[in-house]
Amino acid sequence: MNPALKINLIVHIVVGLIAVAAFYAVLVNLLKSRLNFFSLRFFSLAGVIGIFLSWFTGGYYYAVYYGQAVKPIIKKSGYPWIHDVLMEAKEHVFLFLPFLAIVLALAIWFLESEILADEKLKRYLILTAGAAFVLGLFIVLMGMAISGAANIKSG
Amino acid sequence: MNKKTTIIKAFIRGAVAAVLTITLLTVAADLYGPLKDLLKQLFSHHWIGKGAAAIFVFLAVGFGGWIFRREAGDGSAGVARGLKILFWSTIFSAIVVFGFFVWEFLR
Amino acid sequence: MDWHSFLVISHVIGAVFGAGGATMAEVFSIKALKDGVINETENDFLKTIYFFIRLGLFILILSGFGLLLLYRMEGVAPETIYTDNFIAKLLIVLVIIFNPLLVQAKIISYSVSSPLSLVSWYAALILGAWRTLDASFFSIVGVYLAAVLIAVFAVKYFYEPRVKN
Repeated sequence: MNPALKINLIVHIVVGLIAVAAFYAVLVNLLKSRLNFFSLRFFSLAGVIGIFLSWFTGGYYYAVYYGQAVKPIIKKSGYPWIHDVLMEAKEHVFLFLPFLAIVLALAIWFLESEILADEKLKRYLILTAGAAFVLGLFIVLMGMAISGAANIKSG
Repeated sequence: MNKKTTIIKAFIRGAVAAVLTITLLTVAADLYGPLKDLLKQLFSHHWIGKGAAAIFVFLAVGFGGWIFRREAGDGSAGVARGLKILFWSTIFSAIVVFGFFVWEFLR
Repeated sequence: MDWHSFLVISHVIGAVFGAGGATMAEVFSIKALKDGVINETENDFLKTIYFFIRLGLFILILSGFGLLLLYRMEGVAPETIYTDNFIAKLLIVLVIIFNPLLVQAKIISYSVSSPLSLVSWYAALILGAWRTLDASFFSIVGVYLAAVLIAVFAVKYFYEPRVKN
C-alpha cells in the first residue's frame, strides 16, 4: 500500500468515526428534554462533513486498491463471506448515510421552532438520527471485520 | 414557515428516492450483468455509478420539489410524515441489501 | 515517540477519563442525593463529569481504532488481535455507548444506568489491562453480567431506600 492509499484509509476511518460519533451526539441531544440547538447544529454539520469526507476517501481506496489487493486475500481465506456479505453490504448501506445526514442537518438548522412545537416531528427526527447512528455503527463493526480479514495469511 | 417546511420535505423525498435507488441498483446490477457493466463503463466503477445515480436522484427530486412546490403546504406535520417514510425506507432497504447478499452468498 | 506508544497512551487517557469519570459521577451522585435533591451547583458538577466521560469514550474509540489500523498496516495476524478478551471488551464498550441512549429514552432508569456504567467502565479497563487473561468470551461476559446484576441490586435494594428515607 503506497503512502497516499495509507493516508486515504486513515482519513476514511477517522472521519467516518467522527461522523458516527456526531450522529450519536445528535441522537443523545435530541433525546434530552431541553434541546440545545447550538450543539445540535454543530454535531449535525459535523456529521455531514464527516460522512462526505469518509465517502470520498473510502471510495478512492475501494476503487483503486481494495478490488485488486484486498478482496482476493479475503476471498481465498476461510472467511470469503467477509467480502461477499459484509463488505458488499457495507459499501452499499454506507451510501444511505450522506442523505440521512443532509436531511438531519437541514431539519435541525432550519426548523428549530417547528421541532420545539411539534412532538411528532421531534420523534421522527430522533428515529432518523437513530437510524443513521445504528447503521453507521454496523458499518464501523463490519469495517473492523474486513480489516482483520485483510491480514489473514492464506495457505 | 410553510415555505421552509415544504423545501425540506422535498429534500426528505429526495433522500427517500436516493435510498430506494441505491437499493434497486444494488440488487438489479448484481442480478443483471449488463447493468453493472453499463455503470462501470459510464463511471469507471459500478459502485461509483450507484453513488452518482443516488446524488442525481436526490438533487432532482429535492430541487424539483422546491421549484414546483405548492404554496399551501402542511407544515411540520408534512416534515414529520416525510421523516417517518425516510426512516422506514432506510430500515427496509438496509434489510433488503444485507439479505440480498446473504442470499447471493448462500446460493 | 512512535505511533504505537502515542495510541496506547491516548487509549489509557480515554479509559482514565471514562472509568475515573464514572467513579466520580457515582460518588458525587451519592453525596448530592444525601438531602434527596440535586441542586443547581451539584447538577453543574455532574454535567462536567459526564462531559469528561463522553470525551474519554471518544478518545478511547478513536485511539482503539488507531491501534487496529496500525496492526492492519503492520500485517499483524487477526487471531492475535480478535481474541475472546478483545471481543468481550468490544461488547462492553457497546454497552457503554448505548447506556446513555437508553436512559435518555427512558427505557432504563438512572438506578440501573449508573451502576451499569460504572461496572462496564471498570470491566473494559480490566480486560484492556489484563492481556494474559485466559478465559472464554462466555466466561468473561458471564462474570460481567453477574457484576452488573450485583451492582444494580445493591443500588436498588440498599442505597435507594436509604436515600428515600
